[in-house]
Amino acid sequence: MGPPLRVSVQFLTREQGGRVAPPGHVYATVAEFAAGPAGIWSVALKFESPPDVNGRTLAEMRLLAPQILPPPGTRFALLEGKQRVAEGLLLPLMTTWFISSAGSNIGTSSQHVVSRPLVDHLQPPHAVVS
Amino acid sequence: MAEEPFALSMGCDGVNRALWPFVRRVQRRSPLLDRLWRGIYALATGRVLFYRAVCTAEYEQLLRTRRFACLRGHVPGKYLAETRRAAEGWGEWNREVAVRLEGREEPHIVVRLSVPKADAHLMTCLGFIDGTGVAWFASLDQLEHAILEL
Repeated sequence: MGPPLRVSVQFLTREQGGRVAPPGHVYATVAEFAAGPAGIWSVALKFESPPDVNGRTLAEMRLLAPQILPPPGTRFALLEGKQRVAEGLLLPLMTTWFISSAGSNIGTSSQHVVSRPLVDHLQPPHAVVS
Repeated sequence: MAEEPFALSMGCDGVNRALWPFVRRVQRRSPLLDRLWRGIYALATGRVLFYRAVCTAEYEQLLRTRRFACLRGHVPGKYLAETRRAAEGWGEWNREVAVRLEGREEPHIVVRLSVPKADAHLMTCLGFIDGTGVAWFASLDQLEHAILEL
């Protein structure tokens, strides 16, 4: 298991193809990174709090593969099978420290970090293989 | 009265039942033989074999209902492995996740299931991931006709 990574996550709405209900406190699924390691990777997230009204939250994320360490600022998508359910950003350590020490709420901090839609920068999910 | 787990091997023919303990031993030793067995099984039965590491709660639910189910807030489908060895790898990771992120010990059990070829064609192959094995994702309706061996 890889080291803990701080991430901000934004869940897609049901209309955007997201989940019906938010996940629990710990959520294990697969992710696709916009930069760095290609392909799909197993990840586990521990959320600091439930998603806010905009579907945003902060989490500690770990990858199964310890040799994979995407750099801070890397965008990623959380997938359930081929379905994209959330977008995320690996936070730099300074940003993490700033958010923690400033005590700002999750919505504001995520808004500051994620300035544009993530979905445009990610590859489409893997096609169904028959 | 507790049921005999093997009695839950719904629809499995006698030959498969007789071979299963032997196959399980071979699978632990050689992924190549594992894949060969998977191919032979698909040709002979028209069903595709998959493996999944389940926690004790899911295992008990499978014993009770004999069907896969999803709790609210959980992933609305199941991740499956092509080989027992890969399923054991992901099961070990799930155990580690439970220990490190939730602070509890959660042993995992690998279950085998077979799915009709027609349903398997609808499932999503995620490819070889995590350096562990080929993973598949199946929605619950794609597992409707799955035969579980617990």
